[in-house]
Amino acid sequence: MATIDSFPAKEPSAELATVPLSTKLHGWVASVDHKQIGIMYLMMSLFFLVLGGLQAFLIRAQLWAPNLEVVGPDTYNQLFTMHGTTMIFFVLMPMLSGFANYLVPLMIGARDVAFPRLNALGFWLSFFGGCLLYFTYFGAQGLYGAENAPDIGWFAYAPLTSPAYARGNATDYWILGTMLTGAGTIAFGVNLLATIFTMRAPGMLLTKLPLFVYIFMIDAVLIIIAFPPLTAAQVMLLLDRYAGAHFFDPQNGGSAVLWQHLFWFFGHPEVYILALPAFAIASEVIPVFARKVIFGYASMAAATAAIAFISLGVWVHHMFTVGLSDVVDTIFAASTFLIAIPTGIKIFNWTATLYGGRIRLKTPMLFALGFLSMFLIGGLTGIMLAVVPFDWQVSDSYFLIGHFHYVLFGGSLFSLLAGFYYWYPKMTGRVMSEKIGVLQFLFTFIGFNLLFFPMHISGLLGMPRRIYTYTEPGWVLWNQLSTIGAAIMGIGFLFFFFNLIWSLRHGKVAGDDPWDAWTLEWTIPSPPPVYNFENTPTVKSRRPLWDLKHPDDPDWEHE
Amino acid sequence: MSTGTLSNEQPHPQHQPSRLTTLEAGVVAFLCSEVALFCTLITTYVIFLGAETPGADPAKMPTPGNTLDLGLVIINSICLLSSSATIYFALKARKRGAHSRYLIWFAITILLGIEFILGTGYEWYGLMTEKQLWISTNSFGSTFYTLIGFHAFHVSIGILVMIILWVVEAKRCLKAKSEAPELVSWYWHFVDGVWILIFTLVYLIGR
Repeated sequence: MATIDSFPAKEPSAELATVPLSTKLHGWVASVDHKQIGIMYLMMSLFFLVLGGLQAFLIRAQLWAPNLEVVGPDTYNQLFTMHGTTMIFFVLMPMLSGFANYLVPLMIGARDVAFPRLNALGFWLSFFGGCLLYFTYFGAQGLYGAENAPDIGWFAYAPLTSPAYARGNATDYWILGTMLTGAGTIAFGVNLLATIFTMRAPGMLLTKLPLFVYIFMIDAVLIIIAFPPLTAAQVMLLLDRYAGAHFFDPQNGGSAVLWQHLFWFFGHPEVYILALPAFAIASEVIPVFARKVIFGYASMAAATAAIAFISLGVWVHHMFTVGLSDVVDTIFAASTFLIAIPTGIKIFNWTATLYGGRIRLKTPMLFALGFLSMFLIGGLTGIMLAVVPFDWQVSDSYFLIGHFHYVLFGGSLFSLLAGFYYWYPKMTGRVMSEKIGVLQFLFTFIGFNLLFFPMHISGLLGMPRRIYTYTEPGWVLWNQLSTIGAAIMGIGFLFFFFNLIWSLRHGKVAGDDPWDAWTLEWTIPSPPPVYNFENTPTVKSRRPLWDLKHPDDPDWEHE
Repeated sequence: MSTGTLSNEQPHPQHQPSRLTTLEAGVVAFLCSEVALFCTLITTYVIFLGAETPGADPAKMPTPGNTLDLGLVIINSICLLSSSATIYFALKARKRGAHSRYLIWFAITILLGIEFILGTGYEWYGLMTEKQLWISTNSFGSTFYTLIGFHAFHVSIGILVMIILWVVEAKRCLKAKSEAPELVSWYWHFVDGVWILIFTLVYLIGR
């Protein structure tokens, strides 16, 4: 296989120095190794995180005071569109793909994923999808150069996407970029499912999967169900724009609401596609740093499946203000309440895992606890928003913005950051600096709350989302708090990037198992050899490495 | 600590975590995503059934009732559905090792598929020139051409793959235990199954 060529055959450290840079880079570009592709996914997501973060910061700067003109209204529309699209499709998605790619084969004792070349294809589709989206800044000029980035919002409601309102090519690049990424993501999902179903180590039954792998399996199922409808809707939109079809234009018998249905049928499962990996990481990090077995493995697995199932039937809660009908609203409000039950089960399980544990407050654990608390707030405001009359009041206000940033940032991203700190030693052989890590956590956590909590208040005071400026004096304080929070969080991310680079050379040498953990990836050297496992491991319990460390009291006697 | 065996039991030599092979599992997962795709397209078609264009005279607008003809479609459908049978015979012959018989059945499958595509093309030609139904005419045109087009696109991809496979097999370049022909047949059966659904909805119920 090509994999073997792309790596030096023996111990890399000595020889790498002599290999010219172009050869090394070629090794990465041509790689089909799941570990390299995983790292490339993570680098891609960090790259786009910088872009999306800068856009967010510009937005916050613009909202610092009433009637500011830091950016004009047109630019502002482009900023929030690009920020949302970037963060969803090109930051969180590749980040979760990166972790899954790197870790799932290691956790199940496999040599690689099921289809290594498909894996590479999926990565490059995702990456070039992002490039295509950002190409709009250079090559999508519409009438009078007015449209050099999509300005349709990240969910691209009709009729904003119709040729009459989106006259340049920015919308087309948005469609094609996200569609390419979607194709890459489907390839990733197919690959992940085939890997987990057919390449587990001997003895690793589906009921003995590490929760990380189990939750990612469910995540892949959701990807496979949710992404194709988006692709279909995007093809319809392209046909509307270029072949004169009438899917989404009501003037010719089309339906603008249909786009909303199709988009949110993808969009809501997508929220869980982004949230489940956070659950997956938390379910590994919290037990290891509480020194306890995860509480309620079976209920955790069942709750994951229930969340995935229910998440396919809640999409209309994004559309309560459309005015569909009271019956429809009621049904979808009920299903939305229902999804709080399995999610609540998970929160209780993690809390029960912490209870009575000997908690080590290392950086990964700090971020996992941050995830737990912030995601809880996001979930609770979610239940508030599921109450239809309340939703009518605050939908499309800053309350909503606060809510979903608590879910996607406080939930997903905090947990993914925990993942960075937890598995960085495995990927690089060195532990990230604990001091800088704690500093980053403090800045990120305080900045995050200062940034997004006031949004709930400005939202309740009536501030709508997506306005480029305001005159209301009562909103000023809350917006300024948010902007200060953004600056603090920005500093936190500077610490993060510095830590990533600094620890590569100066971090403590990790060894195989720096955290005294229990899953298979910690049985092999850090970074793992090309072939992963010298011998295929045999598994008898959910914590194979615990069994190995404690032959007198192995897990499989109790499971 | 690089160790292989993590418990005192040795791995079973014929260890197999799943009844499906890796490739089979991949194809099943892929076909599931295709199901989601076609569900979306079919739902969209059904939603727009009977939708009227504001300001246009409904009597003059093309509808499924006054544009779609069953004649040609039935011939096309028979061809496509019987191709499912022929590919089944082909694979049966392959399992027995009857190579030339296998190639013949496979070629018949490809020809039946091509007939379906040509027939659909002819049907579309008639719809566009005689019935004046274009993708931009009304929402029936939009949804009809999109749904049928997506399906025809899938059939075409299948034909392309089967032609490649046929050439490779004719040159005997494929290993006997290769799963490719079997998996292509899964895809082909799937495309046929979707056609049964589309035919029933578009040409029988929706007309």
